[in-house]
This record gives sequence, C-alpha cells and structure tokens, in this order.
Amino acid sequence: MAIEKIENCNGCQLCVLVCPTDVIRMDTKSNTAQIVYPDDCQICYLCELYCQENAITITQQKAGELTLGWGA
Amino acid sequence: MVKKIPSEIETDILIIGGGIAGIFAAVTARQKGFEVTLVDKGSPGNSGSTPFADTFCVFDEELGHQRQDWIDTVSFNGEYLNNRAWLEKMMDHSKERFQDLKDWGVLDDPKFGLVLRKHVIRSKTKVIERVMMTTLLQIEGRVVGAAGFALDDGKPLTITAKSTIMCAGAGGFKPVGFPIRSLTHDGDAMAYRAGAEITGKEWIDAHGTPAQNPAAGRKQFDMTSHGIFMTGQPKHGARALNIDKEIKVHQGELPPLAGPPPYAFGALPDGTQAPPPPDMEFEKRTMVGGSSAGLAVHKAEGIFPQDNTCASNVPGLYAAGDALGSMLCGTLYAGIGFSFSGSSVQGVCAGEEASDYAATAELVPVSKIDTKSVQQTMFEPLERETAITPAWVTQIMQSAVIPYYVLYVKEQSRLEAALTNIEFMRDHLAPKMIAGNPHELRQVHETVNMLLNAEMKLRASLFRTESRGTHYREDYPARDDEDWLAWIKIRSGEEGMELIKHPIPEEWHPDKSVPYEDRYPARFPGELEFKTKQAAE
Repeated sequence: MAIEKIENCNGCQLCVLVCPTDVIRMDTKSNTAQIVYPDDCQICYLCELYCQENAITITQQKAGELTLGWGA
Repeated sequence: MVKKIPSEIETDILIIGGGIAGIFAAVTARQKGFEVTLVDKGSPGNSGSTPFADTFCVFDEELGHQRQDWIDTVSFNGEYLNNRAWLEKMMDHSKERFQDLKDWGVLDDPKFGLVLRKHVIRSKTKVIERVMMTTLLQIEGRVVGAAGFALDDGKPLTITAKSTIMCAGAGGFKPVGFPIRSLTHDGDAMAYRAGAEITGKEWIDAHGTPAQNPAAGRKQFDMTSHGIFMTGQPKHGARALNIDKEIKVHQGELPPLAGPPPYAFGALPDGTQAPPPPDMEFEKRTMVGGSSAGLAVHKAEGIFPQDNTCASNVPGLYAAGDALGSMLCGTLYAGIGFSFSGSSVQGVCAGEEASDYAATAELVPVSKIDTKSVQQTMFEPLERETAITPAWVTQIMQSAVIPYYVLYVKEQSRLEAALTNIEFMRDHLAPKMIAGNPHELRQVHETVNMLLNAEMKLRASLFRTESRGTHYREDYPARDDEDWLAWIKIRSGEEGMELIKHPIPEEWHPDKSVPYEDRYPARFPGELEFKTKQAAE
C-alpha cells in the first residue's frame, strides 16, 4: 500500500516538505508527521531518503487497478 | 519549517516552480539585485523532476568534445527538429553551471534537493512553499503576477511582479512508476490561458516500469548512493526510436525484458558514459509502458520561446526548464543528461532576461488586481454540490489516453475517438468537480490542467501528418521533409485551440541529397512501403 507507516517521528517536517504529492501532513498536537492522503503516494521514496530517523516504511504495492500502457 | 504565508506579495521578479531551472533563475536575478519571490507547490530543490535527476551533460572542449560534431549528432538523433540555438547555449554554459552545482555542494549528496533549497534561501530569495498557483494575472495583456492558494490552510495568495518566470514545467496524466504524479503541466496551462503559445505536445516520453509492482518503478533507480553524475557526449544514432517497445507490443510481440536499470555510472576519461560494474547483477524483469504517460521528451514541450530566448509571446512572461519548449534535444532523447544541464543553463538565461525586463517595467500594486473574481473561480470547486471527484475524472482520463494505442502508436480514428472523450470530460465533468479541502482543490486544478494537456497532445498528434522521432502515426509512417520540418504551436483562439505550423530555419534542414534511408536510418513499421506507394502515385 505504498507509504505504510511513520514511527518514531522527530517532528522535523522534512517529509512534509519533500513529498511531491502532499501525502503527509503534520499533526500539530503531537508534532509528528501523519499519513493523511495515502492514495496519492507515488512510491518515489523521497520521504524515506530524507528521513533522518528512518521512521518511514514504504512497500512496493499500490492498492487498486492501475492504468498502464499495456498489461503484462 | 512549514511557515505562515502572507496573503499578498509585491516583488520585482516572480518565479513559479522551484526545480533546477527556477533555482538558477532565482539566484541569477538576486545577483542582479532584484527582489525575487519563488513559489512552489512543494519545496524548491525537491520539486518537479529535479530531486530524481542523476545525470548532467557537460560540453567541454578540454575533454575533446567538438562543437560541430555535437551539433551534427544531436540534429541527426533528434531528427532535425532540435533547436540548434538552444544547443549552442547549452554547450556555451553547461560547464559553468556544472561548476556552480559543484561549488554549492550539490554533486555528491544524494539529498541534493535540500542543498539546493538551502542555497536559494541563502540567496535571500523569498521562498513560498506548499502553495499552488493557478492563474497568471494580466493587465492589458501583460502578465503582472499570479494567484494561488496554500495547501495547508487553503488561504489565497496574490503576488504582483514586474516580470514572471514560469518554471512549473512538464507533467503527465498521473501515471504510475515514474515520479511525475505531482507534475500536471500547471505551467503550460496557466500560460496557455494567458495567451501564450505552447509547443511540442506530439513528442512522447516512453519510460517503462517493471510489470511486478509497476507503481514502484522508482525502485529501479538507485537514489541512495550518489548525487549527480556528469555524462559523456551524445552518441550518433544511439537513441533512435525511443518508442520501439510500444511498437513491438502493438505488433503482438511479448513485452520486452529490461536489462540493467538506467543507472548512470559516471563518465569515462574519453567523455563517454561508464557501463555498470561487471560484477553487478541485475534481475531481468518484464517491463510495461505508460509510466511517464502524458510527458513529452524533456525540453521538447512547453511555452514557445520567441526568437530563441526565454521570452514567451505574452509581455512580462518568461520560461525556463521543462516549462520552455526549447527543443534542446529534438524529437527524441538525443543524449543523456541534457535535461538537467539544459534546465540549469536556461534558468540563468531566464533570470537575466526577466531582470532586463523588470529593470524598466512597472510594478502593479495588488490593490489594482480584481482578486475577488480570481479567487471566486479558484475556490469554486469548494462550493459545488455534485459527486464528481477529481480522482475519478483522473482515473477515466487515464483510461482514455494512457493505453499504448492512443498516444504512443497513433492513428487518426483512434486519436479522434480519444479526443471526443477528452472533450466530453473537459465540457461536462471538469466544471462539476468538487473539493472538500485544499488537498482536493489542488487535485481539481491539476485535473483541469491534465485534461488541457491531453487535448493538446491529441490535437498536435492529429495535426502532424508524418512520423518522426517519438511521434509515430501508423497512417503516415514516414518522415515528411517537404511539409514537416516545422514545429507546432498551440494557442487559445476564439473557437478553441488553434494549431500553427512554425517552420524551422532552412539552414537547419537535413541534407536532402542524402538518400532518405540514410538520412533517417531508424525505421518505422510500414515506412518504406508507404514511401514506395507515395512515389508510385
């Protein structure tokens, strides 16, 4: 399911800034990053690359039927 | 880090889009002493295609590169519709721009997006992040700024500027597997609605993705081990027919297997690209297409450059990077690393030209702008009461234009059928899309922009009645040097889109004394039969 979980977030907000598709938002109460729009994750791994705490888990699967150039 | 955003800004130069072109434009205009504001849907350095770049092409005579050889090779590979003036500029300045990136500490850091962001902030550019611009503001035809809204609190932002540089280029149909789902041709769409000429929509980027977990195609690139590599010189004919796998599938052959992932392994002393290490093992994977659907060859599409500058035909509006249809490579990828290098060079050019314009242009105060009507249009989807979501419209648009037989292997009746479908979405679905929050409002505007791009791609593909580079028409399977040594420009007319043929300079034409089959050694299916039949008629 693309971006799966964020654990042990230190609240640095880098993932919010670098996510190209606005999947992650800050929860102001806990000052941690939350996955708010997982359907829009494009599995580009930028958030994982930038996270200083290795807090983000991404899987390669995406839910739903995907439109491709052809099936294989 | 996510800062509060003002509702109004007055600035000398506005830059929309913070990829590598926007960053170079900002730094250049700052060096010239202008106040610069850079707005990005995400954050500069981490935006657009930039954070995924890995190669930078440097022209360097000290490495034995020869100017005429590059011009000949790129023209040959790009099938003669490349813009030689932009290639010359790239060759003139790529080495300096590469040195800039080296000086900024960008090259060896896999997280170079953050380094670029720091650099542009340090230049005292006013950086506005997580704001989507939707509309260019105009007074008497001149672009005097832009308006948009913040993704975090949904509040409107109006910016006026003496000159505006569009760097929010490129886009696709939110395909899976290639990281361009944030890119929806916002720059082309804003500029088109402001009266700018848009070019290059018939050319196709044909990246693939592994059939297993196709949405995770980005995993085929190794992002954690390196930053930006310098690449070698373009190889003669090396990039011919980028759409060969689509053609194979159309002919009933099995989808191709991919070899090594498209890593760059640096440059060899002779300037050519290094191969992967011999002990490196690669999994052979079945590849599927469409992972960059909706995107053209980098640099081929965008705002049409007037007289080979970064200026558009609309006063006050400039463009650089993938927002500028510079045709640096031509109709297909003429060499590796041209895109990042070209965008860097063009960013500086745009920064200089927009500065020259700003030096004598007047700033229109925000109070002179009819912000109420701009914001009414922008926020309308929040007020609508229908059940049509942008996610659904995007999904059905994808089904209409991503399959290989529409915009990869093209033919008149199929293009027309898709166009009818897209026109229906444009007229009946787009005006009904709803948004419940700023995230969805962004998606509504992105979907409108994607539909516009789809229409442009289909119309340009119908208009070009030949095959060339990445544009393959089954019904016109040969290059047509008599009629089509020309670019297509699209502009908004009274009755919708107008398509105009813009001939390339005659001195850039191929040598027509060279036999056709040698002039164009890459073959489209049915091409020679078509030529023979044509000759008989």
